[in-house]
Amino acid sequence: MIYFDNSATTYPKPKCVIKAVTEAMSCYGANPGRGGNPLSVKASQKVYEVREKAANMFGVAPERVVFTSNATHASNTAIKGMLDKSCHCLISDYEHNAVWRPVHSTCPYGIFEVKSCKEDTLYSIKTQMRRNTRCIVCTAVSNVTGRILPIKEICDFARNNGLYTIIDASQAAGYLPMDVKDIGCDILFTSGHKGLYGPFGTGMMLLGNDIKLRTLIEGGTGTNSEEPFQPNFPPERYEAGTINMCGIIGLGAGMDFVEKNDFSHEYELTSYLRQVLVSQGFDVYDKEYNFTPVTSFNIPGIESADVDSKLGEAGICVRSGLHCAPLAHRKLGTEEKGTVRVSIGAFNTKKDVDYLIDRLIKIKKFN
Amino acid sequence: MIFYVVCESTTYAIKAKKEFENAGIRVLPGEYRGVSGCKRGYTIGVQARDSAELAAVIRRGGIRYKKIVYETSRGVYGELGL
Repeated sequence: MIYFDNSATTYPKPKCVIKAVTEAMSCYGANPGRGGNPLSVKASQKVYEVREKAANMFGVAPERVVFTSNATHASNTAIKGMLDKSCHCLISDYEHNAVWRPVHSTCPYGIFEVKSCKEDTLYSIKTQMRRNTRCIVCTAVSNVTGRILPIKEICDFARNNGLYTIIDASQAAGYLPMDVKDIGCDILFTSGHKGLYGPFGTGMMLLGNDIKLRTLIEGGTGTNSEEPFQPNFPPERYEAGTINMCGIIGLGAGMDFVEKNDFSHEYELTSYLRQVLVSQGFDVYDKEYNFTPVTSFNIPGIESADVDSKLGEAGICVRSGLHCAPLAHRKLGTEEKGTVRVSIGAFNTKKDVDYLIDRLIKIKKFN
Repeated sequence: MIFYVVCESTTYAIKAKKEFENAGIRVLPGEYRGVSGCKRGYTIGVQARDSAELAAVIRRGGIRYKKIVYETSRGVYGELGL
């Protein structure tokens, strides 16, 4: 089986991740932050090491690294913690449902257009702003096409206009530098099991400053236990309940793997694939923009789901449909049929890509 | 002088330990028995020159603590207000 759905989750996971999870589970699987017994202290120290790794990767202090169960958990924590129905917010027309849905259920909002040039994008934001606009929520990279969005410019604009920014780095973390200070955002969140090669059930919310959010859930934190309310400091304020210690340790190993991988291999394979698809008459979306190792396309006259299914029969795993991002498909004009998405990972080879190309050409030819 | 910094969480206790070590302040190993409220995992014992040296590291590192207990040469404990 050849796996090309690394935007959904990277697979296979590196051996170092599997080893780290196994070790955590078998050697120090106590509850971190929940007391002074030696195993709990060891577990706490191991979790803190991962906070430090994330802190270095994302340019925040370790205590501002909040572990969540996935990017959706993190986005809900950020969006619902910051906004309420008295506020207005803006989201881009590339947002995943992990942003669109929590925003939709929380407050009035506008959708700005990501245009070909940064100035036009900022103009689109400006025209959508209201007196009570509080925040811009924007993805760093489209999960549908891999297009890289101008988040730094958007954050600059937001700061100059007194708005907060929440950046979705789920498709960017691991592939692009995502330094919170450099980007200038207030909050950045990501999943842990995609470009960071961690296990399922891991995500992070990175706080760029002292911003205090309302809590989404409350419960045990191992701190200030005598009080009926959540601690008022991160990370514990946002980490109610037992954290996924083994997953977090695996995520740390994934980040080590990512630090050693420059991703040039994935970019080369993606460029090669895009080039061949364009030359063969496939409709490749957002091909004119900078990208991460993701390609979205259609074969004219064939449903994306049919292509997906035919590739599956040939032992190739891709993803078709709307990719939980209907706004992006509305923008691309593919809301009805969706697209076929190929996302290349660290363990894919040129041979894999050549096999995929061969099958795609045959599907196109014999349709 | 020996100080016991009771942190708000184990996260801050681990951070405090690293901050003290980086500042060249000796972190005392082991458990801190007999000091009231100094829960293991949440408390860092250090040997600092004086409270000013201790306070500088705590402020620089943004360490959140509940209380700081100091131990005199006569083995008497007191609470320090920074």
